[in-house]
Amino acid sequence: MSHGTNGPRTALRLVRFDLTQALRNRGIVIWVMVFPIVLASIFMVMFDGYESGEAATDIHVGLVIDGSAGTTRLADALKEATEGTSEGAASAGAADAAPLDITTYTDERDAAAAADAGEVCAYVLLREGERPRMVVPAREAGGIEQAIVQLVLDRIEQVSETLAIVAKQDPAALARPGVARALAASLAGDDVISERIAVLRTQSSEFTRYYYAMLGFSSLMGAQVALLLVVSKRADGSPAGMRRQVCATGPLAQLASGLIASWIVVFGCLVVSLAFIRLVAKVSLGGREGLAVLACAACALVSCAIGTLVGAVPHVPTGAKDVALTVLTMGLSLPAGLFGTPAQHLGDWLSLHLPWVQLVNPAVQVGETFYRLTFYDSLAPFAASLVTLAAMSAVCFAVAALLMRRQRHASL
Amino acid sequence: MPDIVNVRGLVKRYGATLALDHFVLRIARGEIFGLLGPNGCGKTTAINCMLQLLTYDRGSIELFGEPMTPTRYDLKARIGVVPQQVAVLDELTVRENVDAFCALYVADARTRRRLVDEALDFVGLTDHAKKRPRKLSGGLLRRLNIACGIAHRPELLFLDEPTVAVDPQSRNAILDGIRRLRDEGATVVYTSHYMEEVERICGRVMIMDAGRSVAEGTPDELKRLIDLGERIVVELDAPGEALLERVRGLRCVTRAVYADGELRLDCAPSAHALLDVFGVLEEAGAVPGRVWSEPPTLNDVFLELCGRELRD
Repeated sequence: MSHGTNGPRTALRLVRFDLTQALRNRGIVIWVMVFPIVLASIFMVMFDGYESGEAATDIHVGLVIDGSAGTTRLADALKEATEGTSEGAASAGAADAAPLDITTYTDERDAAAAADAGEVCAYVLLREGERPRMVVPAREAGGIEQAIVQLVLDRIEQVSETLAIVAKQDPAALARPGVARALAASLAGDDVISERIAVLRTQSSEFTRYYYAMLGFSSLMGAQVALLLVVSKRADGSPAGMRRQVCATGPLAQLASGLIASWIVVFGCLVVSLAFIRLVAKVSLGGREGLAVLACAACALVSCAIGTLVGAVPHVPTGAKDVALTVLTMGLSLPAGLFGTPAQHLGDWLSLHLPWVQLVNPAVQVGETFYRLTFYDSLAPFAASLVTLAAMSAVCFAVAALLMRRQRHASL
Repeated sequence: MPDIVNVRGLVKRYGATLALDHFVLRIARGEIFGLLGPNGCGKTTAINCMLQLLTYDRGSIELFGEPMTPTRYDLKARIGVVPQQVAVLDELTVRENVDAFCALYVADARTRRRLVDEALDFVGLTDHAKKRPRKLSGGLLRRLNIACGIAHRPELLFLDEPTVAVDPQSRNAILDGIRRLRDEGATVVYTSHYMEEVERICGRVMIMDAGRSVAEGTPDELKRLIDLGERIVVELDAPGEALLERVRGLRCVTRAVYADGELRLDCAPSAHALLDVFGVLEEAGAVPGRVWSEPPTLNDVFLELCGRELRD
C-alpha cells in the first residue's frame, strides 16, 4: 500500500499542509501578518502629526486695489504668481513652500476689518500712481508671515516698475497674454533667489526610512515561518519532526516543501505590507512598484534562509530558538533605523565607520534595497542589493545544511 | 515464518555508557512483540537504531530481510511509528493531520482520502475529524497519534507506550485496535510499562536490562523463569512475629510480609503451598478471613529479573 516518494512533485504536494500549518499559527498571524500593518499604521498616524505640524500653512493676505487697469494687471500677475508657486510646491512634494492665499478687496476698510479679525495677516494697498504698501495689524507686526509678504511686496514693486517701463515704451504689449505670465514668473522668482536641484529621482521624506526599516523588520519577523516549518520537520525539533524523519519521504523534499511554503507566506506578507505603505501611507516607490515586488521576493528568500539557519541549530529547544530569533530581529532592526532618530544615528555611524556590519545585517540590507530602488536613477545599486540578499541567503542555507547534515534524534 | 526484524549484535555507546550491549532481536511476521525494561535499559535506543534515527557502533539491522539504512525509503514506507509523545501538528485538524502524515507515504490523493477515512474510523475519530488537536481529550489525542502512524497501512508498526495517560476505556479501545492491526497482517513492536497490557496483547516479550536481553519468550514462558509459583494472600489479624517466622520457615514460602491486615506470601512452584500455609496457621490458632491465590504476573517476572530497586 505504501510507497515512498522523494521528488520535486512530492515537495509540491506537501506545500499545502505546510501553508495551512503556517497560516493557522497564531504567532505567525500576529507577528508576521498583522504586526507590520499595525506598525505601519502607527507610523502613519505618528508622522502625519509631524508633517502637518511642520508643513507651511497658507498665508492669508488681503489685496486692496482701486480698480484701475494698472493695479488690476498687477493684482492678476500677483495672483497667478502665487498660484504657480503653490502648484510647483505641490508637484515637488515640498512642505516648505508657503503659498499665499490672496483675497482681493476694493475697499481698504474691508481689508482692515479682515486683518483685525485675523482673517488675513496683512493687506497690500495697490493704488494707481502709488508705491505698493503693506499694512500690518499691530498685534501681528514682526511675524514670519509678514516677512514673507514683505518679500513678495518687494517683488511687486519690481514688477510694478517693470510694468511702468513697459507701459511707457510699448503700451500695446500689456494687452498681450504672454506678458502677464512673464510677470508672474518674475514674481515667483525662485530662479532669482535659489535653485532647486533634484539629487534623488524621487522626493525624499525623512519618514520613508522608517517604512523601509519596517520592511526589513518584517522580513526578519518572517523568519519565524521557516523556523516553525523547519523545526516541525526535524527529528530533534519536535515529536512531529521525529515522525516525519522516519517516513518514506526524504528530508530534502520535506525541507523544500517547508521552504516553498514559508517563502510564499513571507512574500505575501511583505507584498501586503508594501501595498499598505504605498497605497495607504502614500510612501513613494518612485514608480517602480513592479521591481519593489521583486525586492519582496528577494527579502522573503533571506527571511526563509535565516529561519532555516536558526531552525537547524542543534541541541537548542524550539522555544529558545523562537526567543533568539525575536531578539535577533529586534537587534538587527536597531541599526536599520526602525526605533527612532538615535537608532538612525547609530545606523549612520555604523555605515560610516563599520560598513561591513551594515552589509551583513539583513534588516539594513532589506531597507537599503528599497531605498536604492526608489531613489537612485540607475538600477545597478538595486541589483547589487539583490545580489547581496541572494548571497546572504546562500550563506545561511549552506550553514543550515551543514548543521543539519547527519543530525539524528536522541530519543523517541 | 520469515523475520521482519532481525537485529544482530547491536552495540551503541553514549560516551562511556554502553546503551546497547550486543543486542539481538528477531521478530516474525504477524507478531505483537513486547519490549519491556526499566527506564534507561536501552529499549528506546534499540528502536531508534532500528528506525535509523541513531547511528550505532557495531552490529547489523535487517528489516523485511534487507539491511536498513537511513536512506532506505522503500523500507521506511513499510514502517509506521507511534511515538510516546503525541506527534501531531497543532495547527491542522484531526483529518488534516492524518492526511499530512499519510501524504509522506502515499502520493495519490484519492487513495489517501480512503486511507485517512479508514484510519479515522479505525481509531474512532470520524466524529472529531474537523477538530484541532487542542480540542481533544488526552485519550482522543492518543488515538489521533495512532491514526497518524497507521494511516498508510504499515507492515511493521512501532508503538512506544501509546497508552500513557489514557483512561481505561480509551486504553481498551487502543489495545483492541492493535490486535486488529495484527489480525490484518501488521507486525507490531510494542513498548510499555504497563505489564498487564503487554501480557494481554503480546505473543512474545523481551525483557531488557542494561542494554541487553535478560529474558525472552511468551508471557507464560517468562513466568516459568522465576521462582514464584503463586502469591497467597490471607486476611488475618496481627499474626505476631513468631507466627510470621514459622510461615517464613516453610519450604514453599520465599517471602512473607504482613501489612494492612493481609499476610502476603510469595510461594515457589509447589503443589501444596496453600495446604502448608493453612497448616501452620491452624497450629498457631490463627483464624483467617478471606484467602486468595494469584498466579505470577509479568510484573513479578519483571521485578524479579530487573530487581526491585529504584532506577533513574
